[in-house]
Amino acid sequence: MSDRITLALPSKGAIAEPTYAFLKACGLKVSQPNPRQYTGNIAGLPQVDVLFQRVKDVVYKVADGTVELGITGLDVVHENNSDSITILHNKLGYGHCKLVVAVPESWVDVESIADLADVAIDFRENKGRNLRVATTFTNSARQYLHEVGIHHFTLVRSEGAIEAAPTLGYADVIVDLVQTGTTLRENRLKAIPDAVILESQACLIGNTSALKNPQVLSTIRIILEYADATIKAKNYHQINVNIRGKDAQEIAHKVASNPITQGLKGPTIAPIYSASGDEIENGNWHTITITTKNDNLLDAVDFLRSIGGTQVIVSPVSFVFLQESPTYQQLLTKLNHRG
Amino acid sequence: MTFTEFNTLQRIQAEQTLQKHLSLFGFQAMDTPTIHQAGLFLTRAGDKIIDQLLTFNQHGTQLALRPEFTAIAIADYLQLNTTDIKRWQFAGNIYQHQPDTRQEIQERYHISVELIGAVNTLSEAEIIHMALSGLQELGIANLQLTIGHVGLLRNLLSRLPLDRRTIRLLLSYRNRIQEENGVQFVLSKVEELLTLDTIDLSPAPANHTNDDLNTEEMLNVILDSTKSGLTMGGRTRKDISQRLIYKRNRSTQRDEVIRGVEFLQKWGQIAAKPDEAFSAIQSLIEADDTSSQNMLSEWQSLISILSDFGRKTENIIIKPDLAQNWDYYTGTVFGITQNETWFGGGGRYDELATILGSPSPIPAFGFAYYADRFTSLTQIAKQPIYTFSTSDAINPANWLTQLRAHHIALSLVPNKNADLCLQTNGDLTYQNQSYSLSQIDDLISDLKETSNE
Repeated sequence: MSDRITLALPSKGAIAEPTYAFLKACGLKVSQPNPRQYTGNIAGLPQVDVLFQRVKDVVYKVADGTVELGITGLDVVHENNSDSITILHNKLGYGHCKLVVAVPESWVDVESIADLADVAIDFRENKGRNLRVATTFTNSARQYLHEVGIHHFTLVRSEGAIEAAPTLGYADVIVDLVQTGTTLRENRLKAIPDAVILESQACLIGNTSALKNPQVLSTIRIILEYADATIKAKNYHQINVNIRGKDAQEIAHKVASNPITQGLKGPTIAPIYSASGDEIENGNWHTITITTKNDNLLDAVDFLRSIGGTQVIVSPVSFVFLQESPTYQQLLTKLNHRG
Repeated sequence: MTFTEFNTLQRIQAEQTLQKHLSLFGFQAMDTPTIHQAGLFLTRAGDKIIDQLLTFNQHGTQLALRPEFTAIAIADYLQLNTTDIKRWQFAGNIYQHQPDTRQEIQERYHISVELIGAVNTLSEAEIIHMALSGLQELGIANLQLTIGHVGLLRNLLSRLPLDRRTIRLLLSYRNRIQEENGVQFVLSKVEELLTLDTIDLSPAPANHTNDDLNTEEMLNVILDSTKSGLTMGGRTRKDISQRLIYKRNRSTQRDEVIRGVEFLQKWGQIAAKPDEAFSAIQSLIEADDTSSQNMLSEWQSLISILSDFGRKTENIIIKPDLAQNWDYYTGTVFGITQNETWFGGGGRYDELATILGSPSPIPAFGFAYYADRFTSLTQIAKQPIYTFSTSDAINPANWLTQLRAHHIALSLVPNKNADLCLQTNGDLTYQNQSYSLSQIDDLISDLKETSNE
């Protein structure tokens, strides 16, 4: 077995820059020494070579074993489902989009997938033809439409400008990825609310056979540790606040009395000293350090102020490492079950 | 399918036996191309066919490898522009695309029979009997016949005060109803349709009494003012307005829909020997429903005729919900199994002709043998091939020609250990005995005697 491990990353498209940003946030900055070449490296992973590929090619190359690891969209993995691909992390937290069924806005009578099932049968009975569905996701579309009871349709495979298909007349409806829905609206289409085939985001995948290589598994552990820690950290900020109280215990009691200022385990408290090393005048000032969820940030600040806190400094959190990477542990469990 | 010499011989013998058998019933062998316009198959009913069609594009035309023979038979019949009764049989490979399986492209061997132009209970029974007896000709026993009926189902549903669209919707969920929590699932889907808010496009002005016209007018206003009418997909404004009216009126059908779902559940649960099953079906037919009663009587008559043909009722299961495709079959449907493996199936499909462009339905009944599932069970008739070696100085042509004229199969081999060895004096030895050319009859007699042992 070679010592080198190749990680395929998307070279272009909506997911490319966010992937590099994500890895950078993980402390695994990607470098591309020559922008005309398709190779690169990651400083924190000297054993890894980076290969820049189109989003679909990342999947193909991981599937055929050309590369061991890859980051791509879950939608592409779902479309090209293969036993030789193992999803290592299905929620990297960026590249969100949905694969949906969309119909012309003029179809005001179609508000659900059940409506579309009815219309599909209308096409057969009254127009003598099948409902035409334009998409690049033929496997996902086919499987979904049969699951929801729509059996009479013709898939029109198209690689680009799917949204224009109904206007141009070579399809009646489409199955496509949406992010904000702007492109759909501009093409006079609307997503059917209950027809979300897949909620997609960036994911880390690995070649199933390559997972037997301890070195690959070790590299995966590093990536997953950083990924889990980075993703978890996004939910938190660290607060440092100065509070005066009788003693550390009294202050700790006040701070921890509110669940949103309890921190991950509890507040860290340190006494504040003057430059001379003596206690500060009007004494018993302490610095409290806690970690709080972003949603609770302003409420936490308000509470700390209410108990005498001042000079509140808030910092973003880079990593939150738990006792172990939950994703890596799940992977090990899955691999053990496979045998 | 992995082929071996033995597999191939079995398949050839099965095909020859069945073709001969089918021709006894008047079915004439027909050839048909392997490749057709994909549209022929894409418009016909049968979601599994559509899902598994193997297509490719040739200079802008979408073509398909044939997935079955039935649609081809009807299309050929329509092209003939005739009202004659046709009895055709087809044999050959059919192709399926199954992307979720290890072997994505499946090549299967079918032998198919189609009666087109006129069908009655007797001809249906005869064809079903023919299907069973063909397999028995191949030495295959312990067959079970399962019979369902799509026409009766449609007839019974039409008795419910439901509009055509709702019946159609219920039928499309038919298979789901029988699954675990299926009834709840289907009722929830139907409930969605019954309770969804719908745009009310027809606040009727005092002088308007025409509901359709009003809805269409309002729809035109909305689509034009919002420019949403720039993209219509394949529908017209009339299509949309008519369906809006249907949706607005559907909430009155809730109770009937529930009755329909409950009926379909009961219908799907019937699977029994004829007497028991017909009794259960009878209980679902209302006293004043003479049309359904007549269909049931015809069905019972079919079983009676099958019995006249020697088909025992203990090998027959009546399963009304047998058909997967409700909009393709129109009457009797049947399947033949051995130990739960399907060896063939078919039924009455009058409406396929209208799907393929005929102005009216054309009576048709047919079935297909899934030959690759049972040819391995075919008993091979003994057909030995004798090896024949010759010494270099002698020309064996005379011996070879004369022996083959007597249907003795021969294979030239270079080694001297062949069954038949040509000597330098022109004699042929077989089992240590020599024969001259004038003694060829004796040799043939000895060869045949040995092969019969």
